Order: sequence, then C-alpha cells, then structure tokens
Amino acid sequence: MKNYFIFLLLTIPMLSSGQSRASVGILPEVNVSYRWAEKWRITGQLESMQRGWVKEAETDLNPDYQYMRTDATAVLSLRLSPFWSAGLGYLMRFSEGRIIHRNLQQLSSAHQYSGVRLGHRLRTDQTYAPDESPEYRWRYRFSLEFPLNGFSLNNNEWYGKVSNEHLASLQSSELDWEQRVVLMLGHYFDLKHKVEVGLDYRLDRFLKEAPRHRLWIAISYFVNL
Amino acid sequence: MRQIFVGVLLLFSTILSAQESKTKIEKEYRVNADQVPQKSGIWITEAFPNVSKVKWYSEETSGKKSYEAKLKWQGKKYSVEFSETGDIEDVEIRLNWRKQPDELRKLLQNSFSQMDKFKLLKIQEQWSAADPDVLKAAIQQQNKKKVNLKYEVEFRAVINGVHGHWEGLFDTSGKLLQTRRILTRPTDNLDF
Repeated sequence: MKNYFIFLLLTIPMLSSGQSRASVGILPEVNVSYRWAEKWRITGQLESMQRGWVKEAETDLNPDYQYMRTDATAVLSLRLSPFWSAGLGYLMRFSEGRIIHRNLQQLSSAHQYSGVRLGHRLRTDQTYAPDESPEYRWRYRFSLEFPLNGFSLNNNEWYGKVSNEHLASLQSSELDWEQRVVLMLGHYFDLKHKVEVGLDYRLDRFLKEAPRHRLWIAISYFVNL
Repeated sequence: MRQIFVGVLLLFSTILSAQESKTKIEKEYRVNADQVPQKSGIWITEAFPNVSKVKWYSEETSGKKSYEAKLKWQGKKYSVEFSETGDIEDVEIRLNWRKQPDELRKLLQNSFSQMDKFKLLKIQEQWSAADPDVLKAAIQQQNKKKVNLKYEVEFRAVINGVHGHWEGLFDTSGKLLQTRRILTRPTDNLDF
C-alpha cells in the first residue's frame, strides 16, 4: 500500500510539467445493486465527473472548475459460479448538452484468499456519440482488496483497495491506450453498505501526442438492497 | 469546487456515523502476544518448540470472544484456536491435497462426488483432544493416532440447490459431519 502512495505522489509532479496536459477533479459515484434468485443481480450506477484544475501544454496547473459529465449505468449480471459473473449493461452519458450511449459486456471474478480478495474484470464496450465514429474498447482490470486489521474484513472495519486497469480503444482506425491506477480507502459497514474514498489516476493519449494525465478524487458509495 | 468537495465529505461522514450505531459488532483483529491469556502463549511455545513467528488474532462474535494463533512450524502452516480464558480448543494444519495418501483421497473423494459441481479450495486437518498435553505431545511426535482427527474442507459445490462457497467437516471415514455456507461479501466494488 505504501508503494502505491509513493507511486501516486511521484505521478503528481508530472501533472504540472512539460508538454503534457493534465486535470484534477472529483469523481463521486453511487452504486446500487439488487440480487435475486441467488444468480441474478441488477446494478445501477450514477457517476459525476467535475474538474477543478487544468493544465494545458506549456502552462501551469490552474484552477478552472468545469462540470464534465454524468454517467448513468445499468448492468444485469448472472452469477456463473460462486466466483465468476457475466454481465451486460448500458450507459447513458450526459456531457456538454449531448447524450452519449454505450453498451458494455463483462466477465468478472472475485476470489477470496487468506487476508486478501482478488478481482479480475474483462470488459468490452461500444460508445456511440452524435457526430462521432463509434468507439470500441477492450479493458482488463485487476483489483486487490485487503482488510487493514486482521485477516478478514468484518462489519465496521476499514480496508484498502488497489486496482490497475488497461484499456485499448479503437475509433476511426485510430488506436489509443489508457492506463488507470486506483488507490482507495474503504469502510465496510455491513453486507449492505460500504464507502470508498481515494485517488483515481488515468493516463492516456500518449501513443501519438503528449500524454494526458487525469487525477480524480474519487468517492464511491455502494448499496446492496 | 471546494464547497462541493466539503459537502460530499460531510454527507459521507454523516452516513458513516449513522451506520455505526445500527450494526452488530462481529470482529476479528490482530493483537499482540501480551494481549492473549498467558496460558495460550505458554501452550504454543511448549507445543511448537523454537517457533519463530506467531501471529495472534482476537475474535468477537455475538459477544463470544476467542483467540487464534497462526504460525509456521517445521514446514507446515498451523492455526491454533483458544477460548477466551486461554484453553486450547483445536489445532488446524494446512494440507496439500495432492500429497495426501491415496486411501484418504479416495474416502473423501467419495463424499465430494456426492455434490454437484464440487471443487476443492482448501483442506486442513483438525486435531483436538480432551487433554491439552496429549494434543501437545501429538504435535511434537506428529502422531495423529492420539487425537480426535477431522478434516475441515473449504469447497464450492451445489448443496440444496445453492451453488455456493462452503466449509465442511469430514471424519476419517470421509463422512460429511456438517456444512456451513461461507457468505461472500458483495463484489460490487470489484465488478464495477
């Protein structure tokens, strides 16, 4: 955990130097799930992205508040085994007066080992925006969740979560690559509620131009009905 | 921007404090060796001579408190359970399924095959004895004949129509004595 803090601290200076572009903001999210008949689960997610600081090439990081977008997502998932699930979903994005549509398909797993829980997620999505060519993405995310006290996570305990995601995207024959590192501090209330607060760092557009760094202060609340 | 951020933090801290008062306390947490009953510590040092590192945990479930020591000794992983007053309850020894004798594997496999979609995840021997000194001697001599031996198995399978994650206790004939479903925490924060 300490190493990831150091990594994130090292990345912050990149946000304010060179040709690169950067932005810093907040990313609050609410995630509500309902499970039925043991196997089925429907999840609704509402996420809002708001930028607080921005840096263009050759400028410093300056305060500049801008509402970026709100995403509403619904995913229907089927539990294939105690550890694996498959899901189909739809996202509607409200951004700068436009409505963007995205379909998503995913396969995910969460395995409990002594002291830690490992998650894998394979996802593909297709995004359709007005006046733009469709964008196709292929994503893989690895997550590690660990209690901060003891070897299992119990009610009203704190935990840490680290994840790393790689995204490949294709739009109008243009290939891009994005990497994300997320470091969260979570509080597990009980089976129905948990909250996570932390940093979500994203790096993209580095294949053909100056890289874009984005750092979000993420706050996520999870509810299981 | 700052006002929005402070507002969101205040909202979450309010939710957090409201939840604290509603939930039942059920915890296990790491403790230091000097926080466990003295006789538990003595029992460990006598049963496992020259053991280098012992991790102690305290468990509280519905008001019942107990202690657990986790250690590695002579190449094996042990979990030792004690009551709140420090009395030994049982010793669990992690096994490598593939290295177990064919006879034992066949006996257990017969029970495993009764369950649909069975997959073994973890197996441990559970040693207990009415006399703590007998258990101690059995560990040092690695002699299972002197103890009450059972097998604690973690597996996934379909039981009563539920494809779940289970823990089962088997006797030496392979008979399933009891099962307990291991409830997995929601995976929403890993899936989305």
